[in-house]
Amino acid sequence: MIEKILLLTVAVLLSGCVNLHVHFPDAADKTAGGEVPTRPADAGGAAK
Amino acid sequence: MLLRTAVLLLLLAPLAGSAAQITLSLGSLRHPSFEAEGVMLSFDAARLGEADIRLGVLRVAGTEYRALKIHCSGFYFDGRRLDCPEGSVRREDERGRDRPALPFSLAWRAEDNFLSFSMHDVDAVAFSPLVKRLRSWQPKGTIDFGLTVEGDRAWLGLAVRDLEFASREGDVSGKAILLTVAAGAEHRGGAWQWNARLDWSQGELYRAPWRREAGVIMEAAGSLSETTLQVGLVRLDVMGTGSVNASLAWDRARGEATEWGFVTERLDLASAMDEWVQPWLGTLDFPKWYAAGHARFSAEWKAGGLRRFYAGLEDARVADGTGYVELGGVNAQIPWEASSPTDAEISVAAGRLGDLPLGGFALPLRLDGSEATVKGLSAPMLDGRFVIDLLRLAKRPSGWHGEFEGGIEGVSMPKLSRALKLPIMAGSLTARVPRIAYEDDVLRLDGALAIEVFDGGIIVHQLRLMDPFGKERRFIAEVTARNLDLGMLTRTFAFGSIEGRFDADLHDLEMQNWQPLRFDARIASSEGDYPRSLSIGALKDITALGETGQPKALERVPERSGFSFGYDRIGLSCALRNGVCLLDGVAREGEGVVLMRGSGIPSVSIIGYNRHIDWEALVARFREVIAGRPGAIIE
Repeated sequence: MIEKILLLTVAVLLSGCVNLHVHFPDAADKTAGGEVPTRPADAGGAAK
Repeated sequence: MLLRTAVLLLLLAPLAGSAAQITLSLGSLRHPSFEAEGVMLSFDAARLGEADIRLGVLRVAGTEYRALKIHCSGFYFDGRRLDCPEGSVRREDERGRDRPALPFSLAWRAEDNFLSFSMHDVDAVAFSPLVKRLRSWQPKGTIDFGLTVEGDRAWLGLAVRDLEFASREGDVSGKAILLTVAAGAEHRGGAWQWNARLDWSQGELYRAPWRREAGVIMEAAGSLSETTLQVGLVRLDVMGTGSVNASLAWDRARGEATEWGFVTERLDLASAMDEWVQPWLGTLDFPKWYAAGHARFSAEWKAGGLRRFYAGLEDARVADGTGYVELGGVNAQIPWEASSPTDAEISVAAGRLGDLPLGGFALPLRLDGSEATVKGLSAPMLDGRFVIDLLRLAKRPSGWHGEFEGGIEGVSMPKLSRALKLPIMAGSLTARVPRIAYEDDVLRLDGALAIEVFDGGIIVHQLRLMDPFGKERRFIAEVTARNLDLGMLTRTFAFGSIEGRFDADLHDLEMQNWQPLRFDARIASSEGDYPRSLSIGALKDITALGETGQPKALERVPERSGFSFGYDRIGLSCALRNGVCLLDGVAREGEGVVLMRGSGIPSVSIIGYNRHIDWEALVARFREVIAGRPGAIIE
């Protein structure tokens, strides 16, 4: 009985951990020509 | 010299009646209207009435012509009288021989100092013997010209029909021009006292940068001596614009004006601006301005420079070419003197600075040489004030320079944000600009602009506005934001609810028309201890930014208020170039980047895909997500 309760608790906890996958609008058609960024933005102060 | 000519003719008179070609060298001829040198007269004694006259040099009205051949039918000359009722002039040089001759009629009498010279219905191109480089102007049309001198009096008439011409460079041209000139003169006290009227009734004239349709009448009077041309008074009526009274003194020897001036009557400002001022400003690369209402101008030029200028505006409306600045109900008296400073009186009934309405104000303007200064202007803006402590504009050899000190005082943020079509914000705004300098077409902010907002601080520094008065106006800045309340920000934009705090850096931000052209942006959770959570609404809104529908993970989450997910850290960056944003995050996870790392139970991690994001599409989706929600007005 205790094992069942523990398993159920773990299942509830795991279901509360969400990985949200967001596919942002792709710029594939814009990367074909012209200058596009190739390096990520400088870290700046905000990353520190 | 005329006496010598007469004697020669008397000696040759007996030859008349016998067939003989006679050539006479007459030396020079002088008359108040012209001078001729190297005069050769040829005629056939058997064919009276036909003669050829060659002129080595002819000077008329200060212009010199060389190698002219004149043929006369009905010729008569006896030393005291000359008749050439059917004459033609041709240049004898190589070019002139291939061109049409210029027909004319001439009569001269010595006894009463009578001279009559006329041309009727002459093709404009036929003037090439007299007008140098005329062919390059491709003239068309017909011309009547008449000059009569009788003793001390003279009359001149000119009629031009369907005249067309264009310079090779295309900077001067005329089309279908119909104009008449009538002038009369009397020789008194060693000078010709004259009056004239010009009536330009049809056609169009272009003299870069100005273009003008017909509808101009000019009446003028003055005097002409050997040394000077004085135009005592000229009145110019320009249809659609108004009238101008002007004067001019011209040094004939130096070929330049020694002084001139004009006073306009009440002019239509819109027409004057479009036709006269704006084309001229355009050549100086000065930005376009629109104006309407009425205006008066005057100017005085003397001793090689402008001495005085006056501009008056009556109930005018003035706006810059980009529609950013607009002033209405403008009344102004703006005097300027080269020798001393002057104070102008300018009042404005209402105005607009971008989307911000301005109340009525007086502009205390001081002009000193090529420098204009405004000190202590206070204009009502919404429920606060727009203040100019100092505005200085100066024309220097290197171009226009300017500086500005002032700001905005006590403007309520709800009204300001509504006027700027931004999300409604609370509080009031007082912002002082320590100094903005204008040089080389760049507006540059000295120091930094600090704004306290969302319980944190934003500092804008290295602020520059490139081409500030043009349509290509660009805004460049470095922006640093610290410890902003994410909850307040997301609630303001009605974008779910994300509790937390964040720092942001916008490096090398460049915007045009408030649209970013490029930047390196980085956003990260602030240091410190504070609640970090996302509402279910925020998750759904973030999901809506993506290309796919609602993920299955969210379907299991209960839809009730107060339910939220914990997170540990937000970290994302965007490098924008040419509409493409290169995304990065806290860490990489397969093909995606982690933008938010979850923590606690329940928690959420957000992983973004498509590292090269279409920026315009992303902004459009953001607008769609928050559209129609209370509290957010984004356009």
